[in-house]
Amino acid sequence: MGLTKDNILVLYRQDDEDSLSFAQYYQNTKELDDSQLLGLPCSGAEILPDYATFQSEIEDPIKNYFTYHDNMEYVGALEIKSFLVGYNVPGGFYDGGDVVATTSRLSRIDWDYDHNVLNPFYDRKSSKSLDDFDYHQIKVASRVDAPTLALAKLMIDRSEGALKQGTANGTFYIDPFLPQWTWADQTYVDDVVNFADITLPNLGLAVYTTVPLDPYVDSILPFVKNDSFVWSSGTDRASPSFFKETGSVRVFFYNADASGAFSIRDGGSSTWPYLAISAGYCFCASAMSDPTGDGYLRPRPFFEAIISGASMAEAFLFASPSLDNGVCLFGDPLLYVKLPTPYTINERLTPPQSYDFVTDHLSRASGFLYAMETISNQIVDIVVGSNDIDMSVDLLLPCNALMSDYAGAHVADIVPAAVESFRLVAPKVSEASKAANTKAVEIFLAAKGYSVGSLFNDVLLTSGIALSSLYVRPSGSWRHDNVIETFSYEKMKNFHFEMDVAADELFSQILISKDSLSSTEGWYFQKEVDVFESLPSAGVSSNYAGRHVRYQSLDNEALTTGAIYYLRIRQKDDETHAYTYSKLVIYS
Amino acid sequence: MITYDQYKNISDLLGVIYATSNDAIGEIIECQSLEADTQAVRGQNFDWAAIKQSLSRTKEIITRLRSGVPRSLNAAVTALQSHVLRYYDSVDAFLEAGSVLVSSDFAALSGVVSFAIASGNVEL
Repeated sequence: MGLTKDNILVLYRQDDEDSLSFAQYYQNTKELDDSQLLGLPCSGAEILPDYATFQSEIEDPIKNYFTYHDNMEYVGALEIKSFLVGYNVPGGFYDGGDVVATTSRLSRIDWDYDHNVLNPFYDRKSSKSLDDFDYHQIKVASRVDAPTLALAKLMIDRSEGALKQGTANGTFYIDPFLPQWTWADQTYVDDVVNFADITLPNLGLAVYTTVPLDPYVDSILPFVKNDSFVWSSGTDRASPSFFKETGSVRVFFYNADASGAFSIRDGGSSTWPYLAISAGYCFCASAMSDPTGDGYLRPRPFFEAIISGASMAEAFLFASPSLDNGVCLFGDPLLYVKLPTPYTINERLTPPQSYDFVTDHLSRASGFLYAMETISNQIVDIVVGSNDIDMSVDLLLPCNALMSDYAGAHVADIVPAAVESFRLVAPKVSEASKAANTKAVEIFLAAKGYSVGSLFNDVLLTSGIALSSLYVRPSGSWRHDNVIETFSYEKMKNFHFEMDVAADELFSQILISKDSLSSTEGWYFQKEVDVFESLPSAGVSSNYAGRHVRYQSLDNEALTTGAIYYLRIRQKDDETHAYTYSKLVIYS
Repeated sequence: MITYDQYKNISDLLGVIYATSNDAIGEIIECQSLEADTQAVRGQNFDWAAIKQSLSRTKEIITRLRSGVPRSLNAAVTALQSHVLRYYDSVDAFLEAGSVLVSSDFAALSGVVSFAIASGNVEL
């Protein structure tokens, strides 16, 4: 799990003494095996003319160096999960007018080149760190290059220093606002503001933020001082005086721009990556050519990954909306940094959300018990309706006993758990005051926008909680939750859903058929751990795998309370996947 | 005696009850598993101990309904099969005579109360 020194392959340029010197410097610093240095027959150009040249000079020699087993790339006995693109190794290649970063391409070395492909690991909800399975699909890659060999080596020294210091505690400077000429720019700004509102206050760092001026004007950070992180947006040039003195380790600098990383070897440059590295930053990300607003890194997945224990390079991967593009990462891929906060990213349910699921399951159990009661009545009806005396004599008593055992079970059996479930979120519920109980429960339901089914309401009535009809779902309404799956790691995909509800197990009598591609009405997805939002018309992206999609029946789709139906649901992207089957019991 | 259609209807319904009780138990088990998926939030009155106890009790009650304690489900199946045995040597003989195929759920339930049904008389 995670990255260690045994998982890295350092790339250097053959017949280039400085390039080899850097690779050996890194090798000595990290105590790498000789086999972890690979000399490439590549040119000294910073940007190669095309992908074919990149393949022959970089990609193919790397692939040829690997041995493959268990779907993993090995060098000797070492599993390779990351690349360090070393000093004087080409940093990218041209694809038409765009430049594709070597680091971005090498992340997808297991897949065919696909310019600007959507990154399947971007903002992944299920896990904020990469495991061995993930590394079968993706690699992390970063680059250390500079105008001079000395500066390149200094970056490694700084990373070692940051590793020893352990915790980054300088100020976080953030500028979310760039000129919003396109919808993609607006989305980027919204995402950074969302990060500033939700995640940033929990990082345990002092924060300096810009304020919005005008949607078409670039707000600017005046300077940074005692800084550990800078997340900036807009203009791609600056002056060295931007960076004032600091007593804190400078960890990560990012500026969302179009060409800051076009060259890192130009010593006279005023681009952000060069200035940031010169000012002492260990890590820096920028673009070699315009990734557009869609391709800018996003801070929330980046820092959620850091908090969850990912390395800087892994966090970069989670923060990259697309790959095989020009966004480049500079720094030591083995750098891990801690933040001065006990805050953790939690994919576990919040208590209120858990309550919602608990009551949903209890309601279903109640629905099944109600169905058993109904069925036992039907059995008695058959016996009573018989003209055969022997049959009536033999079966009536035991069938009546069966009916009487199940009568009211859907309420009586559920009451204890139902009452306790409300104690989880409405602590004022007590045996003493039924009115107080009702009030406490209604306050909770109103605050969360929850409601209960009619069978569960029967249960609550028994325990003295008489909810207003505002909190009881219409009779016959129903909902179904399904866990979203992912099927491929080649690229991020968007899913829609097809669902059938039938009266019979073989689906020969389909009563309701839904397709979210035709209409998203009634469809929701678990946007946050405890928030469901309407399904977008584009569907839900595969990074939400592990969370739920929900269908809430429409007014004209009411079914019979206490009846059992059969439901099947399947995801579709550019192909249609297998059905998941389940029973649907109506508890409203 | 009971007609083949009546037997088929009643046995199917008893089988559905047997399977449905399993579904109800499954929902309680899902509830119980939520404890592991829920954040422990300090300072909030969120206590799984109370609900765990009541869920266990609910599960126990439903399990008893399923497994025939207080025997009403078992008694109903036993009464049905005993009625048939008043006229036939075996339940299978009755089923074969009427070309009746019982549901797999009912066959399982019948087996629990010692009236095993041959696989040839059970729906696939």
